[in-house]
Amino acid sequence: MFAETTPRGRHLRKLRERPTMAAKNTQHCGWPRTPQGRAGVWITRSRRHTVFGSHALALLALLGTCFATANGQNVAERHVAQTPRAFAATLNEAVRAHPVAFLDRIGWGANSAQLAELHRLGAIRFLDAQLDPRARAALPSPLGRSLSRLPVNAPLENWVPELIADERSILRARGRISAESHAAQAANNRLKILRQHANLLVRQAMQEQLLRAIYAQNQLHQRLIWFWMNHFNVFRGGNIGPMMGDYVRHVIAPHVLGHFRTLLQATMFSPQMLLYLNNAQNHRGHINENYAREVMELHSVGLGAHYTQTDVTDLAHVLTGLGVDLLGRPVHVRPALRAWVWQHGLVVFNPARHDPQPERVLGHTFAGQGIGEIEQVITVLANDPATARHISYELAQYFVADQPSAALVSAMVRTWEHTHGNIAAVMRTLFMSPQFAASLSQPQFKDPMRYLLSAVRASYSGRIVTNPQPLIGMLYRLGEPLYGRQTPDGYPLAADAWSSPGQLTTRFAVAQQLAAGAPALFLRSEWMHRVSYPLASRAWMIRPAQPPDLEHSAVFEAAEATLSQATLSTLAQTTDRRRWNALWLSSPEFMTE
Amino acid sequence: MMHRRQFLKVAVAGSLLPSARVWAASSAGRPKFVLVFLRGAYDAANLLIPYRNDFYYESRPHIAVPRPESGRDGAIALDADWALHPALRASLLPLWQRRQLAFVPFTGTHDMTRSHFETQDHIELGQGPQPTDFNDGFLNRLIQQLNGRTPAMAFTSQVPLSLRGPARVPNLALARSSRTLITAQQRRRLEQMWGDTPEAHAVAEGFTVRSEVNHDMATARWAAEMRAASRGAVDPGGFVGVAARVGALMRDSFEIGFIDVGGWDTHVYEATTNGAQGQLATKLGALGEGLAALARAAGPAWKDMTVVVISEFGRTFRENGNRGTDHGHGSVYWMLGGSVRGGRIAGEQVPLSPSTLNQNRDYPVLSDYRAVLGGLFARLWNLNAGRIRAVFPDTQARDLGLV
Repeated sequence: MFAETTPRGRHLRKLRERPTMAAKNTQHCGWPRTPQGRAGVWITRSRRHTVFGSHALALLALLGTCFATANGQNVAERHVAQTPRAFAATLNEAVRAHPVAFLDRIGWGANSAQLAELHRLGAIRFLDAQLDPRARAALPSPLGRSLSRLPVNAPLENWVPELIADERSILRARGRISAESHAAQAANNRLKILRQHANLLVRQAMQEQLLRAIYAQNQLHQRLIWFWMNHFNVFRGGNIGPMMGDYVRHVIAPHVLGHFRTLLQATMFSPQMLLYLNNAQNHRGHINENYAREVMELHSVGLGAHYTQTDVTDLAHVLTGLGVDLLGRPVHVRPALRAWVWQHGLVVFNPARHDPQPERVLGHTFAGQGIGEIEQVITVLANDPATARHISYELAQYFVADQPSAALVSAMVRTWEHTHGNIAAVMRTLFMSPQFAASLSQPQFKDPMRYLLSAVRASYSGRIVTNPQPLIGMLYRLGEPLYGRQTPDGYPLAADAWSSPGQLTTRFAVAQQLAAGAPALFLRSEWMHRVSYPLASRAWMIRPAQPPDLEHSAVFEAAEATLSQATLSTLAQTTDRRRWNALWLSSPEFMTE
Repeated sequence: MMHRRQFLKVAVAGSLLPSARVWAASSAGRPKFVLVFLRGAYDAANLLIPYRNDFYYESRPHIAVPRPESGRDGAIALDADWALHPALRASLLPLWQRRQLAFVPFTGTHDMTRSHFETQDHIELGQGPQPTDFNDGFLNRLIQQLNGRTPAMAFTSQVPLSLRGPARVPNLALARSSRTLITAQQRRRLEQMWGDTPEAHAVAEGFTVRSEVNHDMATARWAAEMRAASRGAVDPGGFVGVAARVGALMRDSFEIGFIDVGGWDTHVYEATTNGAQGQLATKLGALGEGLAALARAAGPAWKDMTVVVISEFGRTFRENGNRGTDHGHGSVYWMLGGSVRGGRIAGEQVPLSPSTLNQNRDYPVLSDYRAVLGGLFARLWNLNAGRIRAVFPDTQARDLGLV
């Protein structure tokens, strides 16, 4: 793959982050508890883990340095009682003024049903529902049923070994015969069919992710799937492509609002990550330090934290033996090692490939524990204070501002520490912060994924997109294709990476297509006739391109008050529905959230 | 109610009005410079092979490129110490023989993080070990030193860091551009709507660049040229096709250009039977063909052109456990063009041994890339030491006589 442009904004922000991180937070403390006391879950958890026994002391510990200057326990408790209402009022007020910006921020973009729900529940209860890790996607029923039947969603061990074995046997057979022979032609044809099937599985995964992003009700969950996939980026190349559906649905999605350690472990024990960053090839006497480096630099403690080349190499030794067998065969080792074998799906820990020598990583010693060493090292990486700071900063950047304030990040880090990295709790701190409320009137420039999905949600929520394939092409043209980032750093999160002249011109072209009704989105999907797909019934079949009436949509009406004079007067220049739609979807306000 | 608009206005102050044409027409005879960034840290030791050095062959039992006397897979000896990867025989060896190609080994930065991302950023910013301004790349500072009107273009889907800064530089990813028609009326309305925002210039430039590139491409009949330049059918979205179009656009319209090529992070199976076969050989082959196509498409402008190929760092001198290499330090930079005084390996060198390697692991950096590029820029545009220091602060340019 050539000429891959690599906007570098994200790492710059990391460089920028260092001085601000040092700044002492004196402004306020993010207190994630809601008036309804919905934060009970994590309070209980913190209490269980805290070294202090009593309720009051636990709360005090929970508040951390924020109240270090407070005058004893009574002051702290009084503050606790008052703060949530004050924050809730601030948030409610901001959301009333900027409902579209709020919905754009917590999900993939406002639509009319969500605006109605927000109005009915109010901001706080709406957020509670979104932050619930058990919140359901609640897809329109024919869509949900069809997606669950897609072949790509079957467990990997049920179909990957067969696919790989077929491919290898064809390749082996072809290697033995002359390239011009009839048999070689036949082998090439079988190989072609196999690869077409593999490509279909990649497209199914992409289409499913997009359809869920557009129609699922747990919008925050869907946004976080993209965020964490980007954080734990893998590229679709080679054998990883057909397994991308599994990576989204089974590795990332179950943990997006859970504990960070669990998520880190899920990625470390996924065949996709082990193949992508070459730990599958890292074994005793054949050290490959690719994954060891990136798991520290990108996934956990972050660049600039306190690790050295020696830590990287030693971590690579700890991780030896953790690999993948795409054929899913049982592991054969000598009897003395049998008890140490671990195998789950396609992931294998092979003690014969593991280096049992003691290693020291980030000041901790790991030795002789087999796979236990790897679990210990995950705990060390997940619990490192640098990890809390690194991840909180990234979340704040994605959900609040390109350069989030030190106060906000510190509040999130405190929640992280007291909840042992509970992502839902950290996100609650973020959303309940005054910085988040204030940011709703200080828009962020959307990256291509946010831009495209918010345009589709605003335009087509009332109608089921039956063929998401054109959206995949648009993301490619906009420079942010799904599963298409080759390097492990993921796409940059800040605006300056996405507002170049070339980018804007392409966005205007995309807006024009969506504005005109985008008939291709409502064609039969390529897999609808391969699987039983109720949406293929006549009710959903091809309709003439009908531009949506965005001018009279609930989303436009809710956003209208925040539009500039330039935008309003430009929109007033046309009555043609297509042109009007294209202008609104191309407006500065629509490109920001 | 107007909060959003006010916020958007903040960054407008001080920038220039958009000009009708984004770039001044490029005049014949002026130097032309193209930077090609190989992202992912290519394995320089298998591009320019120290073929007289037994330590090289000991360190790479599976992935070394065979010695020159080894037939088709053998490296191509360039001088008494160094040989070229055989995948470049058809494309770039002719340029070497015409003395239009030079290599500078042991080049790079003093950044030791071995992080792709941080090191690429440091190189593109060019501000030294502690970057302070993240919207201030070295090519942008170069344009400012060349009176700010030098026509420049990023042939990438985003403006790279090296071209970010006060001088506005447009971008267009040739492989991904579409031809969706936006009418003149709609364009006027869009420009009006974005008129008060920090992106106003980007919007206007995007339209201008798109229409002018389309125009240049139509008059250049690039498709025919590209076929000729690449000697046969090529995938227009592939690197060879893109490079040929870059050559044609540089010939007609630009004096500074930027392209990047990804996928060089060869931790695994860099080579198959030996270093002359496999992943790296394929990539180097395509890169060479692309550069040769660029040279041919540039036509008469090639004599004024200098193409520099760089990467963030080199790789480990010893192969790893998987016929691959891990992150290293010093790299080898390439200089090619009609104005290059090539046919030689330039810059300070050292015989390779465990004690001369950096940390007994990878190539040392003997030539700071800023000094090398500074020396090149000084010659190309006749810039004095003060101007070079404005491009690369605190750098003493090193004149290697490359042009």
